[in-house]
Amino acid sequence: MIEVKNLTKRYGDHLALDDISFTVEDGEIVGFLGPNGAGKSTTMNIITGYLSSTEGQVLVDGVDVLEEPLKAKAKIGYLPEIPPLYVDMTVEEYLAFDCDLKHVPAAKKQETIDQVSKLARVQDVKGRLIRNLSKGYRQRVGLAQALVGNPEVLILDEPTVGLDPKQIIEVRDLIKSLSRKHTILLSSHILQEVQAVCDKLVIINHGRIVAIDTPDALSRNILQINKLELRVKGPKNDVLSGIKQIEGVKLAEILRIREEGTVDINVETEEDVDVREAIFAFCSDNNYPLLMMKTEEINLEDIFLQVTGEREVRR
Amino acid sequence: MRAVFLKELRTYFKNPLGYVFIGMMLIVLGIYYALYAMYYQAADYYHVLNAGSSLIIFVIPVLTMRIMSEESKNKTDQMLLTAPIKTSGIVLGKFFAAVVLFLMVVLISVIQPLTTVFVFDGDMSMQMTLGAYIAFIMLGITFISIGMFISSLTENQLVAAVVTIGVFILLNLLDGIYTILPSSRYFSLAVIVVALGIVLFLIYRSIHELVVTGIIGAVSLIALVVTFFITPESFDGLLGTIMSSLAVFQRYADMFSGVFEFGHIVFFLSVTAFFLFLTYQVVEKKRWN
Repeated sequence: MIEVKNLTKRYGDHLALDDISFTVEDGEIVGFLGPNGAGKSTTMNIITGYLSSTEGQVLVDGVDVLEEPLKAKAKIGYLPEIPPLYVDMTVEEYLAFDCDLKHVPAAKKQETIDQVSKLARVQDVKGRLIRNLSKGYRQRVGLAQALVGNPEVLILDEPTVGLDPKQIIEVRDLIKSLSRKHTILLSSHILQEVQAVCDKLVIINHGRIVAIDTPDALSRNILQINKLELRVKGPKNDVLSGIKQIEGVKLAEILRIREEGTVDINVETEEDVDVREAIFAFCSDNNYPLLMMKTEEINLEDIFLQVTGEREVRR
Repeated sequence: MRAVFLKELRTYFKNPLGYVFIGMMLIVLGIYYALYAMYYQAADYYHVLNAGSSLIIFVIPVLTMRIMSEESKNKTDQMLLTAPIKTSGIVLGKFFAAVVLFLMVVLISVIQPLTTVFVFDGDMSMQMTLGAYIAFIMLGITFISIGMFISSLTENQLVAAVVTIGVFILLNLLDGIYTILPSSRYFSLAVIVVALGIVLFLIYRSIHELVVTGIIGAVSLIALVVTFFITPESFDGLLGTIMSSLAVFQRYADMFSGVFEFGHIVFFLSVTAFFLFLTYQVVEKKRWN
C-alpha cells in the first residue's frame, strides 16, 4: 500500500534522511520507531506530500505522491506531530471544513462528522472552541481530522503524545480497530507503545533504517536479564553482601529505601548469566521475603545497541 | 478553492481582525467624507477616495498580515497542503476572501455618495466617481496581493505587517524618488549591474549550482554590455523610466483625473497576478527546502 523507495532528504548540508526504503502492506500496522530527530516526521511529511524528497520515490497504492499529488493525497489521512488545528473554530466547524477540503459530498457531511467524532471520542466537545480544549482533546480532534473521508491509509505521527495513560490505551484500541479497514503507519519514540499494536517495526536513527522486523523478533533478541532491580525485606547490609556473593553477580548496590525494613538493590550480572533463581534461593534460605524483582525496561537505546552492534549510540 | 475561501471569510468574522479592518476603513472614509462633503462643501466623492488611498497603506496590512504567516506558525498549512486540493486553490481562496472583505467596505461606503446625491441634492460627476471607485478597488486588490506575498515569507504576523507598511510607503515615495535620480547612462548601467548581482545571488541561493548561476550571470552581463555599446543612448534616464512605470500611486492618481485608461487596469491586474504567482511559488518552494 505504501512503498518508500530510496528516500533521501537534505536540508542544506544536513542529511535528514539517507536512502530509506520500506513497504507497508495492505491492512498492516507498521510502527515507525526512533529517537527524537531521527527523521520520522520528515519521512511522514514526505509520504503525505507536505515535503519533497531530495531523491527517491513514494508510492501510495501505486500512485506517485509527487507526480499525481491530488490522487495520492486523497488516499491518505494524516495526523502530523502538532495537530493542525484552527483554534478559532469549534470542533464541529473544524471537521466540516475538513470535509470540504477532502471533497466529502454535502449530503454525507453530517454523517462523516458524527462518525469520526464518535471514533475519536470527541462527541461531547463538538460545540466547543478548539482554543479551549485540553491537549488530550486537541490530539483526538487531530485524529478525527485524519479519519475524515475514510482514507485507505492513515499516517499518524506520535498519536498518543499528550494523552493520559487511560487515553493512550483508548487510542491504542482505536488504532487496532481501525486496522481492519485501514493501512496504518504510526510513529513513536517509545517502544512499548508501538510494540502492543504493530505488525511490523521500522527502526530509524540518524536518518537511516537500522532494523525492520516484527516486534516479537526484536524484543526476543534483547530480553535483558543481566540488569535487575530487587526489593527485599531484611537487614540491608546482610542482604547486600549475600547477593554480592552469588555467582555471576558483577555488581550490587543499594538504590534507595522505599519501605520501612526493606531495601531496593540494583544488580548487574555477567553477560548471559541468569541469576534470578539463585537470588530467589538466597532470599528464601535466609527468610528474606522477596517483594519485587524486575528486569530493567527495554528502551530504544538497547535496541540500537543490539541491532547495530554499537556499544555507544552516537549523538 | 471554495473550502479555503469560505473558511477564510468566516475567520475574518470570528476574530476581531475583520471587524478592525472594516471599522478602520469606515471611520477614516467617514471622517474624510464629513470633511470634504460637509465642511468644504465639495460634492464630488472622488476627493474622499483619493484621500483614502493614504489610508489603504495602513489598513490593508491589517487584512493581509496573518493571511499566510498564521498558517505556517500554527502548522495548519500541513492540513491544507496534505489535503487533496491544489496549492493554487489555497492561494486564490485566501486572496479572494480578503478581496471580498475589502469589497464589502467599498460597498458600504457607496452610501456616502448616494447620500450626497439623494439627500443633499449634490451635483456629482457620475463618471469621476465611478472612475475613482475603480481606481480605489484596483489599488486595494493590488495591495492585498503584495501584502499576501510578504505574509507568505514569514511566520511572524507583526513582521509581515511592518514590512508591508514599509513597502507601501516606499511605493508611495517612488513617484518622488525617480525625479531626483541622476539620469546619466553610466549611473543606469551601474544600478542595473548591481541589480543583476542581487538576482544572481538569489538564483544561487535557490538552486545551489555555481556553474549554472555563473553561465546565467555571464550571458546577462555580456548582453548588457553589448547593448550599452550599440545603443548607449537607451540607457539615458533608463532608471527613471523603469521606476516611473512601476509607480503604483502615479497610475492611481492618473485614474482620478477622470480619463479612463484601460492600460492602468491591465497594469494593476498584472501586478496582482505577479504577486499571487510569487506567493504560490513561496508556498511550493517551502517543501523543497
